[in-house]
Amino acid sequence: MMEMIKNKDILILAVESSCDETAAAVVKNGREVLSNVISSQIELHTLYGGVVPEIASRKHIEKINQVIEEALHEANVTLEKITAIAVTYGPGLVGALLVGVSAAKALSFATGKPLIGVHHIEGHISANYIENKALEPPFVCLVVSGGHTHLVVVRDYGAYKILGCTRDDAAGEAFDKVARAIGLGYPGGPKIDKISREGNPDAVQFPRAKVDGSNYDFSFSGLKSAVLNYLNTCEMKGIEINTADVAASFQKAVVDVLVGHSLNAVKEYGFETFAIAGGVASNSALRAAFERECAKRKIQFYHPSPIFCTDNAAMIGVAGYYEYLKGTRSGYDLNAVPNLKLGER
Amino acid sequence: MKILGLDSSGLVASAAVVEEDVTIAEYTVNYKKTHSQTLIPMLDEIKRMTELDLHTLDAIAIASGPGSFTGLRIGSATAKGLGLALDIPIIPVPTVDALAYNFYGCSALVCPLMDARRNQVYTGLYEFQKREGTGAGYELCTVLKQCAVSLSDIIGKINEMCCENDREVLFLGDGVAVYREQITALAKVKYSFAPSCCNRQRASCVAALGAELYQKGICQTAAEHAPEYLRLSQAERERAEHAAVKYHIREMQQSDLEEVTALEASCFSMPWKYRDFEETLTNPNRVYLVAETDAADIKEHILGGCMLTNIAGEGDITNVAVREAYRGKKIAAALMEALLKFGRERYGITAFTLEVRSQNTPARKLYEKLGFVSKGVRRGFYDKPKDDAVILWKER
Repeated sequence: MMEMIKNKDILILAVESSCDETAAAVVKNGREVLSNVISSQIELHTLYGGVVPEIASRKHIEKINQVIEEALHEANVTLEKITAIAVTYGPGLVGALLVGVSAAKALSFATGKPLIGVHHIEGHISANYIENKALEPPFVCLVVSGGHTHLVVVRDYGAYKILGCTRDDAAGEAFDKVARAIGLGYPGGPKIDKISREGNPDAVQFPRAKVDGSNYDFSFSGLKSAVLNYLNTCEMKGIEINTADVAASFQKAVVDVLVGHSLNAVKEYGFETFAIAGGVASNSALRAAFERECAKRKIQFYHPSPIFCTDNAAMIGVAGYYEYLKGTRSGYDLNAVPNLKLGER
Repeated sequence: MKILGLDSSGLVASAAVVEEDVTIAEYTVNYKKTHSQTLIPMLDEIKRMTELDLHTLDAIAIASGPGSFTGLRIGSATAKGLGLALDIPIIPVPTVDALAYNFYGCSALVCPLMDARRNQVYTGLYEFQKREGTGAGYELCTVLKQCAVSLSDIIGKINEMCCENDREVLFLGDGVAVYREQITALAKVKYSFAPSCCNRQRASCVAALGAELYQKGICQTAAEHAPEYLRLSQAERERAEHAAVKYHIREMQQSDLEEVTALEASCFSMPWKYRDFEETLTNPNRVYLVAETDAADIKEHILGGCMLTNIAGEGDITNVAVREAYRGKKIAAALMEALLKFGRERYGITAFTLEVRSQNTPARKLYEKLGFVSKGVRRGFYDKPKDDAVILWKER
């Protein structure tokens, strides 16, 4: 990638290691991704049926330098040309986060470049800016991944109002657990998505959970239990289970709730723009449902490409850029904060 | 040569800059704050105080493990980031070696003890040998390489090594605070505990020992470097154990004799000897079955075993043993089932008998489950410790 770098260009080197992907990227002027390197550990964790924090942390430390060096190399820039260093400092697995945070702080200390701690969810939301140059706040964004389910009003760059989040399991977590129960294995999201295409989404009526006292909070553990109960009942009665039908019906129950809550929020706040982000945002049924429903209501619908939906550092670079413009700077005592709340520092 | 030393392997966070035989700066904190918050601010302070130009550093020496997994990674990731930005190599210094280096020139045997949790210590044994020639100094020599063992294991080793030559041992490290009473109770040799000025990790030691290692060609690129944990993660350990528990049962063969003898010795206070098992191989009325793991990477293949002797159509079962680490995994039950089947098919046995220590509840429960019933007691049958034997029969 041969890009002309001008002196006034702002180049962010971003590092992300909050879960099981070791990632680094270089982002120019907030919207242009010069490189986006991701080293995934997914095959390793598949052996254990999910992400093992200690193993993830060990892999991060083995890969972190290669990934950063590759990101600089691919972007065709040297460390000297970088304006600032952005790093995910939460939320996530603390041991995993610490690898990226420690390395980024050392880079910042050794080069004298400013350090910017970035919120992982802010990164996911910001992934939408990469390919949608027209997208600007305000808008409503649904962040759905293996660890997060947040419905957020993006009032401005770096200014958020959380409308709702999950009370129990994240949406992606529910996918993983149900996938395990019906024998599809890990990671559950892509596997359920795929098999659901062959199933009947109306075959089994699973509940669409409402959360008392909140229009926008989510709950997926009840749905997960309903699926498990259904499987048990079938087994006891000797009824053969149609895996594709169960997967499709479960997926539809999740999609219905996510779409319903999101569009209510867009309507209530009177926005014309809506975006999704996070790993589950790659789910084809979820995208199709949003595309259909948003088109009906004349709402502009944005979503990142799959490569920017999964955990990546480019999104951290974008969020870091807007934080940089706002004057956000982190000290050398920046720590990993596993349960960091969006909008808090 | 100017070396930055770092140690964040334990509770201590320490950073130092050492140039030849001068420690230009050292900053050591033994306080609860996490290393992630302290390490670079400490470096920053050193840089400011000593007007250090980071680009004059030639290498980074880091306590590369063992230690707290997270602590090691904070130090490692910091060193890797610095190494990448400054384009300098990393010298991995074994943590326990660096601790021992606190006592450069000491004539006692040096035994660092780091609390490793799970009833273990990270430890090793070191001595300083004088190099030839005046002024040539001492060489840190490893007597026992750094390892994770129980305190009684390392003290046992020391007792063995030092009882004859009356050598003194010097203990240091955060493990001393945890195990002081046990050391006092177990040690049968002369020993002392190091004082506060030199009983914990210090980055100047890491850097000084690092300089020696560098001369010997020990160094790596920042990208290559990763901590030496000395231990698998819990998930990997459990997975390995689980893999080992996949096994098959077969008759003992000649090549098993050593392992079977060791198994027997680890399970019984008055074990059968190698010769006894060897005879079994040629005795037509006797069979010893073994449970052998399917995992190729497990060093000791035999997880358990049991013996059957055909005495005029009655089956006498003896030597039922399962390695301690694999108990509670129903291996004995599987062995017994296989042995009963073998007895019926090979010898036409319909009545089986065995004796069990009256105190051995898990075994008695297992035999009951298999259909054995008590037909009497031999008082004081067993020695070491004294116990009654319950006589069990299964007739069917």
